[in-house]
Amino acid sequence: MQISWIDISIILFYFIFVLSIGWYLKKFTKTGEDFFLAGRDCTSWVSGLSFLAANMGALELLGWSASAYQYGIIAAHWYWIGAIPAMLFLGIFMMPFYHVSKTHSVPGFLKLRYNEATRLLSAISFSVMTLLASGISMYAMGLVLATMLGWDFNTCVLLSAGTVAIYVAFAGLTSAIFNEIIQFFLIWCGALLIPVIGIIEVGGWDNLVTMVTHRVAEMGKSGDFVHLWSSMGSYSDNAMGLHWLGIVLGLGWVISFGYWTTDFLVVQRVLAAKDLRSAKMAPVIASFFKMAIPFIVILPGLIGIAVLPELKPADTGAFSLNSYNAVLPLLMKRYFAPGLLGLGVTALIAGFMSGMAGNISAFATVWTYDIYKSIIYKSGTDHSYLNMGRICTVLGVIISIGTAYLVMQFASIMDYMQALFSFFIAPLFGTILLGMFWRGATNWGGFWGLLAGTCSSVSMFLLLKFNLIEGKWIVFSNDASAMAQNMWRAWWAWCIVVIVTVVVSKLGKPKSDEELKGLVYGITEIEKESSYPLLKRPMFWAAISLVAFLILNIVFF
Amino acid sequence: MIPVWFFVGILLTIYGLVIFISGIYWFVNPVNIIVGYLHAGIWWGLLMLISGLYFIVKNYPRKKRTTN
Repeated sequence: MQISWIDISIILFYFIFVLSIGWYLKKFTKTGEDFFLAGRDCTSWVSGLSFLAANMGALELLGWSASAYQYGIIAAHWYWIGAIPAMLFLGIFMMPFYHVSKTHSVPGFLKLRYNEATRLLSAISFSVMTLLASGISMYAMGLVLATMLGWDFNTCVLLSAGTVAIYVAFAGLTSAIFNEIIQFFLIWCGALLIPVIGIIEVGGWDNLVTMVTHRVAEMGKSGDFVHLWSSMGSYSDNAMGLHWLGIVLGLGWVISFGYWTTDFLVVQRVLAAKDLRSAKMAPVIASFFKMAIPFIVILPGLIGIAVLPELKPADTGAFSLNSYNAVLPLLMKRYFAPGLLGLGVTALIAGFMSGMAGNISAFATVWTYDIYKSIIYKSGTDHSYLNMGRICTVLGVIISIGTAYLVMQFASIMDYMQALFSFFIAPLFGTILLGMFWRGATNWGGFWGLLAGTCSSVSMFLLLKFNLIEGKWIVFSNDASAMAQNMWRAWWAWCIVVIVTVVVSKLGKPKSDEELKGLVYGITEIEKESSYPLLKRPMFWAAISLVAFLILNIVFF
Repeated sequence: MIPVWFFVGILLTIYGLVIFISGIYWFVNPVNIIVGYLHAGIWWGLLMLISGLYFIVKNYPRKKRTTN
C-alpha cells in the first residue's frame, strides 16, 4: 500500500498531539481519585463517548468488517442484540448501585457486596484478562501497520506501546478518556466516508443486495448474507453456523450483559461520571452511537463482497492485504486519495492505542486498589497509591508487550478473545447480577459461584479443544461453529454460577438489610427521575433507544 | 482544565485543513482512485474544518470575569 509524505505527517502529528495532551493533563492529576477515576467529574457525554470508545478499538473494526465479508449482515448481531439491551440495562438498573456504593472498581463492588476473597478472585482474573487483551491489541496493531506502512513489526509495537505508557502514566484515566474521545471522532471521520462512497459506487442499497447475493453464489458460499434473523432457524442456514436460541441466550444475554455491565474496562468510564443522572445517561447516549457503528463496519464488509470479491481467509494469526481482515484498509485505498488515506490509517492507529490505553488504565486501577492496597500495602498514603498507579501503568505496558509476542503462538486472535470473555466475563455477570438483585446471596455463595463458573468455563473449553467430549453435548448439534460453542459455553458457565451461588447461599446466613443498603435492589433508596424535565430523564432516552433497536431488527429481519 | 471538546476542535480543524488543501491539489492533479470524480477530500475536509472551528469557538477557554 502506497503511503505518501502527507499521510505520514498526519500519522506523526497524531502521536505528538496525544503526548502533548497527556503532558498538559499531568498538572491536574494530584490524587488517586484524579488518576484512577478522572476526579469523578465527567459529564454524561464525556463518560458516554469514552465508554463506547474504550470498546471501539481497531481490532473490533477490522475484525467485524472481515466477519461481515465472511458471514454477511448477521455480524451486526454483535452491535445490536449483543450490545443495546445490555447497555440500557446498565444505565437504568445497575448504575444506581455502582454509583451509590462509591466503589472504585467492579472487584471493589464485590468486596462491598460479598467479601475480600471474591474481590481478590475477580481482581486477579480481570488483571490476567486485561493484560492478555492489551497484548492482543498491540500484536494486531503491529501486524496491520507493518503490512500497510511497510514498517518493522517491532518498531510499530514499541512506538505505540511507548506512547500509550507515557500518556496514561501522565494523567491516568483522564488522559485515557481524553484520547478515547479524540479517537472516537477520528474513527467516524476516517471510516464514515467508506460506506458513503461505496454505496455511490454500487448504485444504492438494492443494487448492493443483488450484487452480494450474486457474488456469494459465485464464491460457492451457502447461507443468507443480507438478513439478520430469517436465516437463523437452524445452524446450517447461515454461514456463521449459529442458531437464534444461541444468539439470544449466549450473546444477547450472558456475553453481552456480562461484557457491558461488569467488564471494568468499560464500566470504569461510567464510574467517572459526576452524578447519578450523568452515570445513568452515559450508557444510554453510547447506545445510540453503538447502533450506528454497523454502518461503518458491517456495511463496508458487504460493499467489500460486491467490489472486492477476490479476498481469501487469513492465514492463521496473520494479516495480509489479500485476506478478509484487510477489507477496510483495502476500501480506504480504493476510495481515498493521499491525505484522506492518512486520516483513515490514523483512525485505525488511534483505535488500537485507545484499546490498549483502556486496558492499561483499568489494570492500573484494579491492581492498585484491589490487590496492592487490599493485600500488599494496606497503610499507604494516597500519594503512594498514585505513584503505584503510574509504576504499574508502565509495567502493564511492558507485560502487554510480552503477551503480544505470546499471542503470535496462537492460531486465531478472535477465537482467543472470545475464549477469554467466556472464561472471565460470563461467570462474573452471574455473581454481580445475583449480588445486586437478590438479597439472599451470601458472602461465600458469591465466591464459590464465581470460582465454579470460571473453572467450568475453562474446563469446557479444554474438553472441546482436545476432543474429549463432542460439541453436541454443549450446543445440541454437531453443525455448530466455534463461535456458537463460545456462546453456549458462556451460557452454561453462567447457569453454573447461578446454581452454585443459590445452593451455597441457602446453606449460609445472608448479610443484614442494613449492611446491604446501597448495594442491593429493594433495599437501596434510588433517586427518582421524576424531578428532571422529560428530555433530561435517562429512562425517556432509553425507551427511544430501545424502539430504534427494535426498528433496526425488523427492517433487516 | 480546558474541555476535551476544545482539543477535538483543534484536531478536526488541522486535519480538515490539510485534507481540504490536499483535496484541491488532487482536483487539479487527478489521482487514480475509484469514483475519484466525487473529490471527497474537498467536501469532507471542509466539513471537518467547519466542525473543528465550531468546537473551538464553542469551547474556547475564556477566563471568568469577576465583578466587584
